[in-house]
Amino acid sequence: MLHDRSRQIALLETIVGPAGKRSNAEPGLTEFLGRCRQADAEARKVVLRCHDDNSAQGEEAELLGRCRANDPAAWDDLITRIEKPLLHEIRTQHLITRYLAGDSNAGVELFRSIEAKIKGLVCFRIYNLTREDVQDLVQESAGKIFRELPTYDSRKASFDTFWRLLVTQVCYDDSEKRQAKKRRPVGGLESIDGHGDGDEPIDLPAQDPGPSDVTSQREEFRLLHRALEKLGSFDVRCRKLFELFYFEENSYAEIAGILNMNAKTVSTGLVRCREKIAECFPNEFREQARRYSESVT
Amino acid sequence: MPDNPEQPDDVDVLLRNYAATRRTFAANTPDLHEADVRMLAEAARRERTHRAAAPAGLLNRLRGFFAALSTPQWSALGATAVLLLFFAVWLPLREDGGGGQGKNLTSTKPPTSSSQLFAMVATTFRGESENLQDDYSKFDLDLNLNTHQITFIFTNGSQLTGTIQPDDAGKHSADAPLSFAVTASGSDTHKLPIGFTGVLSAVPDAAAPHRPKQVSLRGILTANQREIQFTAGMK
Repeated sequence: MLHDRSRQIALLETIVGPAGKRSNAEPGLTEFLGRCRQADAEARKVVLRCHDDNSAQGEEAELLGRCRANDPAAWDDLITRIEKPLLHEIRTQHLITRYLAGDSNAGVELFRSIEAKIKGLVCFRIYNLTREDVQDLVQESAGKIFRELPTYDSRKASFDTFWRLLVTQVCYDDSEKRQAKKRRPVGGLESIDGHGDGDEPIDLPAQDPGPSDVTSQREEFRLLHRALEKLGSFDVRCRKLFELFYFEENSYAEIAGILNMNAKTVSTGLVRCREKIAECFPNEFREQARRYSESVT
Repeated sequence: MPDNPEQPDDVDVLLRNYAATRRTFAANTPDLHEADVRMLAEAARRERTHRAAAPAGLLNRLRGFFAALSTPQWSALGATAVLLLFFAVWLPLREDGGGGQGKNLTSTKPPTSSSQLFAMVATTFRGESENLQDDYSKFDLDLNLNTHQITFIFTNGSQLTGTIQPDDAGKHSADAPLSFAVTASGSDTHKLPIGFTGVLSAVPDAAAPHRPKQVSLRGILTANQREIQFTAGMK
């Protein structure tokens, strides 16, 4: 498992030292990976030692085997595969350290690196949002991430896992609020301009939703969300898998890295989640899929 | 799209469709303004600094206190302190309450009740009768206050063994004598029965709490088919 987090952490600590004690480790890591590419025996030995626990399977095991036999192409492949996540980890760590030391620019840069993903996660999680709602939730998520950042421990989880958890909490709280609003007893009169009982003016929904708002509220999506809600506790895992696979278009291996599980488990999990969803409304889903296929052709 | 080896099913089609729509929707939603992000980042930092600088509330102090106690060093120190406190409270209580039997050898306080006196060690007194004929005038008195036994050994060879029982259940002042009912029986040199019924008085000694300052015996000694008034002081 080349995306295994514990391996990444072990490799990084061997190359550039523990997370709390390094400032900008990127040059050190780049230099190390360069040495690996240039067939430096010591550097290669370090990489192999960190992958020497026999947990790799299939293609990865074969790649590691070729690396052990000093196949130059295999080494190029291996370094290319591990370089991106290691650099991402180091850069993220560096930004977090700088922000916690008082550098607001680093905080802004850190947020910008995940903003699009946060927006996507919010949109994927709650389907009947307006753009203003999305912006509000993204802003709320940003505040939460900045506030909770000192509690982040890179040894326990990746930063991706950390912020996803916080954004999910924000989305969950928002859904609860919406549900509570729906449950408000009917019959009471409320001032819409704020001159009634001292309440704030009510934010009336726009009369004509935009075209993308219309599409986002299509019946099949409502059906999908209802099915997800019906899954209960199983839903948490399924939503996570759907988000990472369908929405963010990550590969099985990448998802395995993020969720710290086997790529095969990811694939099986996705199939099982889809089956569970289909079991909720079998006829409706068939009908929706048929209509969708017709509209595409 | 990522590689998906599984056959696309109805839900798969819907999910792909949904994801594509939501991706477009997300992409068309404007980013937060840089000023807003900066403000959020600085607000969180200020909040942290403020929290660190502010005096800790009672709850936080307590939390900190217990967190500190949970370290191994403090746990060991705490356990030692609790043990010391326990002994500091328990030992005086044990001495004052007088519940112990036969173990109370270290107290410096005089016994204030007969039951406390019973906790004294076995003691031998040399006794001398004031009003008896010679063959019963001198004797050794073995008192074992743990087993409530008393033994008279007269110089003429007669021996009496019996029991003593406190006859004052109440508390006594430090200097008040404690009295015990004594009943003993035995035989003289001619194997003839002899007996004693009387009272043993003991005056506690403040300076030597486990040995009475003064012990005296009064009663009737029955020997040779006679009842003899018996009064003896002990050394």
